[in-house]
Parts: sequence; C-alpha cells; structure tokens
Amino acid sequence: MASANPHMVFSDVHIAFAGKSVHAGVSLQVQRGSVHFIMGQSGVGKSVLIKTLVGLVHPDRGSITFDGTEVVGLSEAAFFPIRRRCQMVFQQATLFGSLSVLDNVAMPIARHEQVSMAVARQRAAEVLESLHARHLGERLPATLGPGLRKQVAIARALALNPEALLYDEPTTGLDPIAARRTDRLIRETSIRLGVTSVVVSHDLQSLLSIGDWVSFLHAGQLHFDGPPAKFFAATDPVVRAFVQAGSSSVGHC
Amino acid sequence: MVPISASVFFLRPLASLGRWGQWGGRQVQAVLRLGGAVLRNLPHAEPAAIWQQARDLGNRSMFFVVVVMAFVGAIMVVQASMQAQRIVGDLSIIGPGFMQLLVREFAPTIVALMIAARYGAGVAAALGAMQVTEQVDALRLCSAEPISYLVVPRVLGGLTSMPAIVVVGGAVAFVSGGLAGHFGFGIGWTSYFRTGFVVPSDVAIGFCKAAAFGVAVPLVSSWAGLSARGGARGVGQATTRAVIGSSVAVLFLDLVFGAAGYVAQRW
Repeated sequence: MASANPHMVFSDVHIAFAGKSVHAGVSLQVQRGSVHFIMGQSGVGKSVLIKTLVGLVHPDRGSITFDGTEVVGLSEAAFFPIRRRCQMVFQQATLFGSLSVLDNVAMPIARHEQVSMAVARQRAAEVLESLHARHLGERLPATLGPGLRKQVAIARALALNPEALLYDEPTTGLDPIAARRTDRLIRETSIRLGVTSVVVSHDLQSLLSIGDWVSFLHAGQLHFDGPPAKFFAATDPVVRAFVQAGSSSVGHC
Repeated sequence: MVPISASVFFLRPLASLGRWGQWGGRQVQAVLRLGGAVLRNLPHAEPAAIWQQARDLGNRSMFFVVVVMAFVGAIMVVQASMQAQRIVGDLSIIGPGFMQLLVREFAPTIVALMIAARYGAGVAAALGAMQVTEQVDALRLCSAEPISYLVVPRVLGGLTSMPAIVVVGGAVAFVSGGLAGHFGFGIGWTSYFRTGFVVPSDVAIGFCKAAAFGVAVPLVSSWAGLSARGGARGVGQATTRAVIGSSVAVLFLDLVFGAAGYVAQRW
C-alpha cells in the first residue's frame, strides 16, 4: 500500500536460512491504522517477515522501517523501545504457564515500564476489563480454551498501548465462532485504539470480514498487493489457486 | 585396488572423526558464548528466581541423591574391604581412605552426574519447550532478556546449591559405607570414622569441583534447551544433548581439577 507516511516499510528484504532463500527482495508498505493481511502458502516466510520488525529474526539484506526508524542492524537492547510500540501475538498464544492470566498481562507492563508488579497488575486488570476478560484474571492459562488463550494473548500485547500489533495466524486452531470473535477483536482494537494491525493468516474469511489490504507472498517475492476485493477477483493463476483452495471455508468466493 | 581400499578403510573414519571434532568444537564454543552472556547479565539476577532454582536443583534432587549415594557408599566400602582383606588383611585404612576419596573425587563427581541426569534433563525440557513454542520470543517481547530471566538464575542456583548437596551426598555415602563395613566386615566405628587422610587441599579441590559442576550442568543444559528446534522431537533431542553434554562437562572438569590439584601439590 503506497502512502506518504506509511507505518512500516519493508524494502528489498532478503532472508535465507542455512543457505535456503526464504525472501528474495520483498518490498511492501503497511498503512497506519490499517488491518493489513500477509498471506501465502505455508512455508513462504510470512511469520518470518513480521518477526523481522521486532528483531526476532534478522534479515540478511534490505531495509525495514517502523514509523521511520530503521530497525535492521539494531542491537537487542535497541529493540526494546521498538517492541514497546510494536507488540506481537504469537500463533500458539505463548502465555507463561506458571503465571496467572493477570500476571501474564502484567508482565510486559512491569518489565517495559519498570514498575512494581502491584502497579502492573492494576493496569493489567484494566486491560482485561476493556476486553471483557477481567473474570479470567486469576485463572492459569492451562485452564483456558484456545479462543480465550488467544484473547488473553491479545490483552497482553495491548497492555503497553502499542501503536502496532503483529498477529501470527490468530485464527489457526480456533473453532469458527472463536475465530470470528478473534476477528472482531482485531477490528475493534484497530478502530478503537487506532492500532496498526498486521495479520499473517491463511484464513480468507478473516480477510474478507476485517482486512483493509492484503499482500500475497509467493516464491520469496511479493506476488500481489492490493485491497481484498481485488485479491478475490484476481485472475493471476497463483492467487486464483490460493483463493479457490480456500473458497470452501469462505463459502462464496 | 588394495591401497585404495586401505585408504578408504583408514581415511573415512579419520574424516568422520574430524567432522565430529569440528561439531564438538562448535558446541563448546556455543556453550562458552552462553557463559559469556551469563556473566554480562549477572547484575540483572533476581534473588527470588535464584532461590527457586537452588531449591529445584538441591531440595528436589535430595531423595534421589541420598538413595543413590547410600548404595554407592555401601558398595564401594564392601568392594574395598574385600580387596583389602584379601591382600593386606588390614581394614583400618578403609574409613579414612574412603573419606579422602569421597571429599576429593567421588562425592562431587557422582552427585554432579546424578544432577546432570535429573536436573539437567528437566532444564533442557523446560527451556526446549519454551523455545519451540515461541515463549522465549514472547519473553523478549515482554522486555525480559531470556538469558537473565532463564539462564542466570539456574546457573547461580546451581553454584549455590551444588556444593551443599555434594556435602549431603558425601556424608550419606560415608555413613552407609561405615554401616556396610561394620556389619559386613567388622570394621570398628572409631577405626572407620577418622578423617586423618583428608588435608585442606582435598577439601578445597572438592569444593571447587562442586562449584564448577554447579555452573556447568545448568549452563550446558540451558544451552541444549535454548538450541531446541522443531517441536516435541526437538525437545527430546535437547534433553538427550543436555544429559550427555553435562555429563561430559562434569568429567572433563573433574579431570582438569584433578590434574591441577596434582600439579599444585607437587609444586
């Protein structure tokens, strides 16, 4: 999505693991406040691409900017302020099993803002309240279903009032009702808090219901970049095959 | 044809040995790098987390250590008494000799090998599971440096509790050996419970070994866990790597300290 003031810009990003190229010059922009989907077949490196933004993966070449700040080459310590502003919701929710839901949400507040756990818990309770999940506070993650775990993971990511949220396959492994609830949560977060949302997903139903823009990766390159309506109507054989393969889940594609 | 076959016969194992050596060197380098990172993160250590890990290594291994060391002590005294009875007929040196052997060598080494199997495997499984389920990345997103949050407490916990559990294990082995010697061979209590052979350098070497093993086992096990890749299978492999790596590290350090102690005594 070309814009005068994009929130995130990936330029000519190259990433290889053990000599195997994953990205060979990916360039794309993410508009501020949008819900931007990154799609593509499994193994194409969608998750890898968003992890570069927060320093969990380091590209071999290229430039990545977050709100105008170059993040390629930053040290681990220099990534902390970036991670405060740009949080990530992992595919498996990754809640800390030994901590209660409240402490899971409080942890990034206590760590990033160097406040006591008591203060962080108070703030965490407010975040859970805003997501209608305050009643889960004392429970351990293992006692929650996948949908609720994802909801808590989103609450943890929102605890620091980030400008951007990266979602790694947020609806994978969820039943359709929980998946649509998660979609609504992503959309509401984007509208209510103005958070830029980057969603890595295979879920065409999610794209259809909440997506503003979609970037489709194929063979290490950006293959399609445009609004969902154009994506679903695309005649490109690779995109078409992807859409058709997923059409059963969408119903009317 | 014969020279070619012979060269294949000799060179292939040599080449394999070389590759193994290179691989081993890379693993040792990785562990040492982790050790460097632990040193840099020492100021961020949290006392509560260190205490929890010290309890995990010490208290929760206590039953295992006590049971095994009781058997080890009894078996060693029985074997030594049988040999001594047959060759010299004098059993009065069994107690002091066994005490020196325990303090200087066997208590730290055997206890550390047991800790490598029990605690090391647990550390690798826990950190490996965190690694493959992206919890380590989630920690980094929470501004919790994984080394200071996960590895430093384990290393400092090991450093503090390993010497203590070595003392307990050594004492149990000595007492069980005394019981076996007394009831099996008629060794007198006063003859057995003597510390005459133990000199301060034995105690110093034993303590240094225990402290070094207390650092090595959690460090190698944490490295194994954090390098886990690829789901449940990766966690299993990390656990195996932790036990093997920790055990080899313990034996290597034992050799180094033993040799250093010998050189120091002669000098």
